[in-house]
Amino acid sequence: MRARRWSWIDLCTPAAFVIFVASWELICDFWNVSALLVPPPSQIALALWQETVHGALLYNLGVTLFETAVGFAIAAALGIGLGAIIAEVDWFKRAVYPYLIAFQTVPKIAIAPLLVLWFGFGMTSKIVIAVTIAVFPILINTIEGIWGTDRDRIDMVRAMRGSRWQVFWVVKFPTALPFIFAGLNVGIVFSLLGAVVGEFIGAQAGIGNLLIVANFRMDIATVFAVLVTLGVTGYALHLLMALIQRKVVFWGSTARGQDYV
Amino acid sequence: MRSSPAQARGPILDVRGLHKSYHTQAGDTVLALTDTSFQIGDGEFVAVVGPSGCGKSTLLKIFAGLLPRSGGDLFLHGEPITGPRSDVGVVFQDSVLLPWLTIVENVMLPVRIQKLDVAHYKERASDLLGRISGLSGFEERYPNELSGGMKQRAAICRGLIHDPAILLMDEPFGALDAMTRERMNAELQRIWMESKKTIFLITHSIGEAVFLADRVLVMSDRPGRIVEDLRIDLPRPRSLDDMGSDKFGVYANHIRSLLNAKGGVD
Repeated sequence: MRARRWSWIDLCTPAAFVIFVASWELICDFWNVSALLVPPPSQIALALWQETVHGALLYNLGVTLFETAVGFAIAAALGIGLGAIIAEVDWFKRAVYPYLIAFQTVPKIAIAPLLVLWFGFGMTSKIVIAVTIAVFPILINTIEGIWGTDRDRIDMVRAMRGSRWQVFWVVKFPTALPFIFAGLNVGIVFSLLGAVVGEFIGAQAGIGNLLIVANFRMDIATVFAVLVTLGVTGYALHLLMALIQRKVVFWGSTARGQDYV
Repeated sequence: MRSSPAQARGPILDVRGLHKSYHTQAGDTVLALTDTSFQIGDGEFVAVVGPSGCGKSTLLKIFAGLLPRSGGDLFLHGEPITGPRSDVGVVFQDSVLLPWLTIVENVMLPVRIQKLDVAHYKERASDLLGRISGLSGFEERYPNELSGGMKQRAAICRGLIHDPAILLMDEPFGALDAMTRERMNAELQRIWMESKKTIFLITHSIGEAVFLADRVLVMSDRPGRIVEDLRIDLPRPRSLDDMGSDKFGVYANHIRSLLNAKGGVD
């Protein structure tokens, strides 16, 4: 079968990009905006090219991505595991859940300097910050997803003499998967955010470090180039998660999860 | 053909003086079911009708071992029911098929849960899906690809797969439209006649109860209790046209008058 025919609506997204970049360039040119404050897109593109080919953008991006990935993996394991136990074991829920909710209201960014102090200027502190920020949306969505399991589904498996363990794995966990993925989707972007914030505070490498250094040097074109890289990376990670979600939760029903920054 | 085999082989299900009360959050005790006694014989089709909230579903959940009873005795094959049992099959109002499993995987779920011999029951699954419910060719489809009636037929197959002594059905066609529902009633009669199962059906459709059942138990409003145990003496197989017959109408009107007298007011 042939694909849907092209229509003008498909041009909206690329057209908006072109118009935005072109106006930016023209405004900078027309009013002579200082490149020290807002560099025109052409300079940003040049800086991006320079940093990629001659500079250390890719190396720093690699460092940040590594921190993000490790932090996300730990956050996912912790969030899903802990979430499942909280949702299933009443005494554990009573012992832990209220404190988690209380801790969740603390802006995690505010404790980032403390974490750098404790875990040093290397990658460990960035990973810890990434975990701290990314774990909550995953945890909360896992709990909500499991608690949201339809009573009939649980009764169905119980009526078949299913054990509590079987009820969990056959019904509750798969039911929670769309919610868990909603959490993972937010979590992976938060993990990147956490790594970059950690690098702001004190690091030897990473894209956040690159940004701070360029800012000190008043190399604003590079600052923007790093921001563009960061934006594209975050979006790519989000798309990657969405792709995995479509493969795993193939039966659809995308849950609108909760963020819990 | 199927005339009261209950006396011949003893009852499958024996309910004596069953009652059930709940504690509300306000601390009150609500009597949901009181002094309920009846028996179901092997191969019998028994339907329960009653107003909503009369405790029909509570009754079924107690039989399925999903709810504890507050008092009375309850025997399946002479053994007291103390929890969910492997010789009971349940069909719920919504088909409750798991959307991430194919139709045949859904049907095989009791086998998987009870760790029975998969190869043996796989054959039975395709037999049930094909011969009994006309779903052959849909084994590898997912529930979202099926209509409501087809899903419910798959759910019935799931209830029958492990060859239970009794099939409990809680308003299985309540969510279907009237046309599909009538067709499903005819299908269920055929499935019952072919599988020779004992069926306990909860419904709030008087027509459905009279059309399908050997006996109709009429329940009163809260606290639920059985006000009449009515034997339906209509020849099998019954056709949908029989629903217009005089005898059918007499049964239906009798049940309706009982419901209006006992449960309509208040």
